[in-house]
Amino acid sequence: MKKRIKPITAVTAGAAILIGAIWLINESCYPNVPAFDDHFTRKFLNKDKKVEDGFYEFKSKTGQYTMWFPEEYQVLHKNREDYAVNNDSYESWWAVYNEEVEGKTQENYIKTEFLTSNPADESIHVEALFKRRFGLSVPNKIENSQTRIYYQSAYIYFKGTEKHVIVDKKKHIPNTYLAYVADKRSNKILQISFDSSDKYKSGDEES
Amino acid sequence: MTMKKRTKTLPAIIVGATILIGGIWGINESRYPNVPAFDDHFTREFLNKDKKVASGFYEFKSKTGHYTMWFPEEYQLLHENEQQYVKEGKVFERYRAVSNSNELEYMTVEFSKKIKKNESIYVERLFQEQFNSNKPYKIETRNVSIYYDKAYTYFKGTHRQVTREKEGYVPNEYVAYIADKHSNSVIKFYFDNVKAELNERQGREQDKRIMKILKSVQFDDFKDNRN
Repeated sequence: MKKRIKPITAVTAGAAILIGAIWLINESCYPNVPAFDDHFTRKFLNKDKKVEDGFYEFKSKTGQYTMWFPEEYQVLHKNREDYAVNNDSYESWWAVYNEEVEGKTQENYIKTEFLTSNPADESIHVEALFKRRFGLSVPNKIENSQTRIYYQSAYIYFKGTEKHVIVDKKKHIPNTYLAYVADKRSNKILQISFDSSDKYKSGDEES
Repeated sequence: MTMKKRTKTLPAIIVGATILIGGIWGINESRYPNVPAFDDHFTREFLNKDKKVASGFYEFKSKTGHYTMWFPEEYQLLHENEQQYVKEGKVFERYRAVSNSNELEYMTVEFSKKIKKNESIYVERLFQEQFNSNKPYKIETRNVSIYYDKAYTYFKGTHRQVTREKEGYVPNEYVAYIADKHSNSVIKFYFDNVKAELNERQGREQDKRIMKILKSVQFDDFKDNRN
């Protein structure tokens, strides 16, 4: 009786140590940054592709685009609508980084939406988007060999339920950035916004 | 002796004042309809208690002053943060409201100004984005164009599945684009009841209610083409 218990205990202990060790080795393969601590976020990232200091390559589940992803952020997946993908034609996600700023927690958000859009209507969508968000119709524009990037930043704040926008950087440091990135060789577009105001508590369909 | 008298009057005054204040509050509250929409003080500010427009609906007046619509009496506006209710002067307003009898039923109503000549492009984007399809139904009245569509949607893992116009799939999501014919005013309407599995009869009732709300939108006559 006494003798039989011993091997079982030993096997159990051995197995536990083995599993623990495998888990540890596996975990230690990943970079020790918040983006890789989250198992959902990890699936989008290439751990061997630290594209630049502080960024890893993010690959969309649509297979249609890659972008740089800051290592402090984690993709949200608590609620159903936090992350959505529709085959290769649509994807939306948002990621959060809770940053300690002067003893307080500041929530920073990145929000993206990938979709297809007729290039002929580009100026109309761009104008509507920036007008809606910032009250101006002509954003900044950069072109490179692959994309056209329209972007704008502003400081957005609320007085009660009233939204106010300050576009002039000299008057206030921006807390919101928005970009519309259009592929030159297809009808694919990606909208990206960055927010460090505390107004995003839940996903929404602001467009 | 005087001491004793004073201590007696003071409690009496307090009791009297409490009864009075309570009474005034009670009378004031009793002036409002006894429905969830009026139980919430934030929601109440948008509604006209004397305008029960149809059974189950009160008139909702936007704070932009640009439109009115029917508001279901069991709904309440969410107002914990700026994503739930936000307004920008007279050009933008968005509210999100939840049913008090079914907490998984939401509607979002967004008012904005959109350039009229691009209407078809905005409509296409909206329905493409929401249902991956650009075949909305269209209703024309003298004053407005209503584009709307409905679908049964659900998530398979992170994949969003959309089923339109298929027997046995009662819609749990509605989207509408309502454009004023006399100005640039536009309302985008979103309804979702995604966790519910309705039967055909419940589906028809839901459909009727939503169509009532969509058709109830009235834009003002104030012609402003600056935006």
